[in-house]
Amino acid sequence: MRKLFKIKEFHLLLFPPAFWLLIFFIVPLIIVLIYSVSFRELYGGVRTGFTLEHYKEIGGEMYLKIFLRSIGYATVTTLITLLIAFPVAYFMAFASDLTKMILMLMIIIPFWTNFLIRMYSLMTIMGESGLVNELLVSTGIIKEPLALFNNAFSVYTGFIYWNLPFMILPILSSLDRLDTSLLEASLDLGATKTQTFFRITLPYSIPGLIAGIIFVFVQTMGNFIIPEFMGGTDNYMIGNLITSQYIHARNWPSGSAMSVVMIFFVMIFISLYLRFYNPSKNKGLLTI
Amino acid sequence: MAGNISRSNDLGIGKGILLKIITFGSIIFLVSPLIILIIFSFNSGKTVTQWEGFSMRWYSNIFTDYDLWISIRNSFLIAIASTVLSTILGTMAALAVGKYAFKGRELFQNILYIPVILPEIIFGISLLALFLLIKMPLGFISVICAHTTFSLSFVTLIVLAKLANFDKRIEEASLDLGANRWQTFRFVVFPGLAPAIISGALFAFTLSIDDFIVTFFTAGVTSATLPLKIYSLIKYGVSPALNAVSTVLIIFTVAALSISNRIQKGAKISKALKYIILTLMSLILIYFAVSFIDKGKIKNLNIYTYSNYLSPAVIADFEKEYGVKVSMNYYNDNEELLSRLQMGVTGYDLIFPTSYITEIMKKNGLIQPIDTSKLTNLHYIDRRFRNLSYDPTGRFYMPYAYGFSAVVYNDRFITDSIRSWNDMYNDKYRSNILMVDDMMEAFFVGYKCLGFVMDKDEGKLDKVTDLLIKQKQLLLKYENNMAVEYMASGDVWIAQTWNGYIAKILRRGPQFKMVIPKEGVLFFIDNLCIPSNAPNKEIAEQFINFLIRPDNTASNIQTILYAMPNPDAIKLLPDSLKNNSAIFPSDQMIKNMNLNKDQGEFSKNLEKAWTKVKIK
Repeated sequence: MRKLFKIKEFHLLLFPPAFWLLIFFIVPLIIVLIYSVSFRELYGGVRTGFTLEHYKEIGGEMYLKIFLRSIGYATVTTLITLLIAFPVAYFMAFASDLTKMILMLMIIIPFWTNFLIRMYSLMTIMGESGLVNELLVSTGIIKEPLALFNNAFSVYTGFIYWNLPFMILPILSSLDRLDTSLLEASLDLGATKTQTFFRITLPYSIPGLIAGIIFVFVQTMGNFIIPEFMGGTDNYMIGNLITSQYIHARNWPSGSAMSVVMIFFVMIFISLYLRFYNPSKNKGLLTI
Repeated sequence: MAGNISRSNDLGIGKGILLKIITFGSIIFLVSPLIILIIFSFNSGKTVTQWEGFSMRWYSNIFTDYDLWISIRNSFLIAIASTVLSTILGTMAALAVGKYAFKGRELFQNILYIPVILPEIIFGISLLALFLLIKMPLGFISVICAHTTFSLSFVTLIVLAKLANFDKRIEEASLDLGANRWQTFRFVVFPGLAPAIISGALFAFTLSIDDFIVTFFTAGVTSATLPLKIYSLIKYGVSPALNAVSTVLIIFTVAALSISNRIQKGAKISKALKYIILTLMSLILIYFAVSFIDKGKIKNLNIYTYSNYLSPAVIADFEKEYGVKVSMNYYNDNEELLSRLQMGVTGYDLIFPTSYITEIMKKNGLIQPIDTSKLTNLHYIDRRFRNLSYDPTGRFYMPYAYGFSAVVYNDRFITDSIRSWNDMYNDKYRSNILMVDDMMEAFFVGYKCLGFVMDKDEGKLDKVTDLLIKQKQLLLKYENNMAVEYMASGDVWIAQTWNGYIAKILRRGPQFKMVIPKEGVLFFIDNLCIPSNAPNKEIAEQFINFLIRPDNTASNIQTILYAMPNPDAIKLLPDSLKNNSAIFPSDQMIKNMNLNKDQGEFSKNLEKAWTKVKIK
């Protein structure tokens, strides 16, 4: 049988993208690794050498706290987002075409709107003199404006607001694959709705569920804009720390060491993601 | 896809009232902030919280904002270049992976998938590290490389998905029926993949247009994109103009989305529409290309400074008089300015470092001497400021403005007498205190609170750090740029901030009071300096000369409310300003002034301590 490409041509096809990824993806990661064991220069830059002091520092109580806080924020955000997103996806999966289309539009527009703009839109209504407080005070529900902004509450709200579409869409795409006749059969054969949900619907949604959970968790871990703009003084996260090491403290090695720790941590989740949700077989997030 | 079949069912599944409440609640939560944002883009007032009437003024503002257009153009150029690159490379990768079982295919495939989920900050940091190492200047090329890298994976995934569904028999039939391999690829395989390639390209385009974090780390001055501009608008001065920009962007996104959706679904676009889109796109492309080439001819000046630190009217006068386009870029604090320059960011022509940073920059060769022979207005500058200790030759800097940070409070909320730095940190004011986000300022206050002198003693530093951590619990935030807004809205009762902001706050009403704490305040002298790699040194010198002309200096002082060492300019000011103690410090204060110095090796300890304060 004749083939479309010859071996040599395959190599020509493969080489440029492979080379590109090597130079701009693999090598940079290695450089970060090398920076992380080098010495810092006073005003920025690195002096070559080998030291583990930056890693020792990270192991210290102070940085550990930031890591734990970031993991905590990411976990809570993921859980709350999941608790909201699952019912939404579930409802949409079984809604009439028109309802579903309208809801889909309402989710996809925020999904594709620039992240900064979305965050800004939330910021303007959440401030102490923002619309939410004004509404609550003017309707007499509360007397004093609530402290909604510059604290953990606003950071969580920001994260959930940002992540909701990322959780809803993959779950929905999994549930969409569920054949309703299965549910019909289950109910006809005497299973209760609860049993049907746990035996059929839930298992079907698992690939999307896992994809959503991992994606939301990882993205939240790495974000530093929401704590910066919506947080107060106690909401610094690992991303802020890495950024400030580079942009403020001019301590490239320390920032690199933190990045390395984060890469390893995140890689655990990425490998899980690839195992459960191979993007080549499942377009998931890419479906629009 | 199954999703397109009606799934409305009679089984009673997914019909619960609670489900409905949660669904509609979250949809409202998702959409309402955007709707409010769009509504407020038509607000005639200056705030984004109070509706004052309908107006299109912010939209007309967009059209005259030069920097905004530059950033939009940059966004498009970068998106187009990275889309072309990533689409070609991504399609090649997809063909290789999809059609050829080679050694290490699984590894290659996994490496391709990782960027889809890797946090952007890792991308940004690692690419920054690469560019720093190979000393590649941060600019267009670096951003395009970065965007291509993360878009590539998405293109590959989309094309690969299509390739997997592609009926191999058609390809075989074509080959068997006598078409050669090229013909088969060109007329059979490629048309089959085309929708996926196009939607991959659109995806790459959107990713690039939208990206903030990776661009934040890899962009230079002249390559700043729209998201960077939006970031700077949020950070350095929110106004409904931002709402207008956002609205336009949301509309653009929705339009792009619907086109991409149609293409992906394989719907035929009518021929007329196709031509219209093609013509429009090529027109845009030509416009950008021409303006890019043209850019070499237009004289530009890129200023990197604090926000609210230069009068827009003075800039406009300069632009008119010299036929130069001035672009403004902002930094948050001295440390950021120094770091960005150290990282080899190119394109800035004029920067405003504080005295001790000027010294560091001079030592590190980051700034170059100013040609004083061209400065015909040099004699207006107060001689006492010309040859300060950090540059006795006076060649590397031109003194710009000086001032101090002090305390301002609102006596509607605070009735106690405020006399010392320590008085700020009262538990009664919890979460209504603001401090500046500046390492040296914060430590100055900390040392003063404890009655220490800042020397290089680590024991003292530890105590000060502990105090700052304790004080932090009471703060609303560390913030540099929004003190006026926070005080005016009543969210903040008492703040440590710079005197220019204090002067602006005092104008807002008699309830605001300034306090010069009895322990003393930290002074600053900010300078005009020209970076060593400035592309437009001569224009920068012209601008310096223009700025120190007394009438311009006077107009500048009236806007930014900081003192400038220019006696002739001060003579031109109205008495109310001349005698304003929030703008012009008394001679007594100048005599006892504290200035920041380069702390040398000790700054490592300070930085570590500051990080500790921030994260504790």
